[in-house]
Amino acid sequence: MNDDDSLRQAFQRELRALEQEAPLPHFARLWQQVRAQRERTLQRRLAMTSALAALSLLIAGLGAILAGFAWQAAIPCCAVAFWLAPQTFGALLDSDVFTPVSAMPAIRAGRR
Amino acid sequence: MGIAAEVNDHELRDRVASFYADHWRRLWAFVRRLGADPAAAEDLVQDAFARWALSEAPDWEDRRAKAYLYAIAARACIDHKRRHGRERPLDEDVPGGDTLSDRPLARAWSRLPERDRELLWLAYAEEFSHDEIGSILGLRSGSIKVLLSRARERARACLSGER
Repeated sequence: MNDDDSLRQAFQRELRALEQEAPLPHFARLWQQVRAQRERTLQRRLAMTSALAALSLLIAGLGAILAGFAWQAAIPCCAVAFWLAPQTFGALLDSDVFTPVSAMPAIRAGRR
Repeated sequence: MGIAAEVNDHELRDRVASFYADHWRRLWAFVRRLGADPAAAEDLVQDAFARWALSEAPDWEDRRAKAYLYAIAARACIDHKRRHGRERPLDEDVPGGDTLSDRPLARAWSRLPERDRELLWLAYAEEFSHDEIGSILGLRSGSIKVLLSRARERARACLSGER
């Protein structure tokens, strides 16, 4: 038997020994975590869409006011924008998102 | 949630569940071997699986999906060590200590450099190819052969000192 095989056997033995020490897996807990994270991601996307809508309405309303016409349009636009903004920005700030693997510090800073 | 999304959700759940059952213990062993204590290893592995399940990896074929899972776990370990400092030697975590008497590798392990441990474990315990090891550790696959050969020499030296 060559050295490589004996090394491989030593590692396989060690792997089996460690596998015996491993705690029981908890798939239900994992799946709960995954679902919660997916919901948060969805909420964040929704909040971002609403934020974009609020911003567009605000710009449209302010534009209408500055142009000096269409007060009938400007007032509802600004009203809806001001109503949407705190909710959407609040939702954006609340939703903590998993750091993507590519953005984890070890990746950004180089390996060591 | 629509019917199509529910169906996809069930498919994803089944795929993640089967992958989780197949790889949980091995990945825990890998994370332990990178120096995390048992409780931290459990958290890191759980977190790695969550990240893996939220990525596109569950749609990939098994070996590629497994390599990606190990890459996530290896990176999570590095971050964990940066936040919590150096690991304890593995011997301290094993109750009784004498359980290691028939495991020379476990005793020699703490004397190996960290990079060697990763390389050797992935090559000999998990039997990943050089390309896969390169993608897991973020190294050029061309350099793996040389690094692995040096790591092997150091491991043999450590192991012969244990006998």
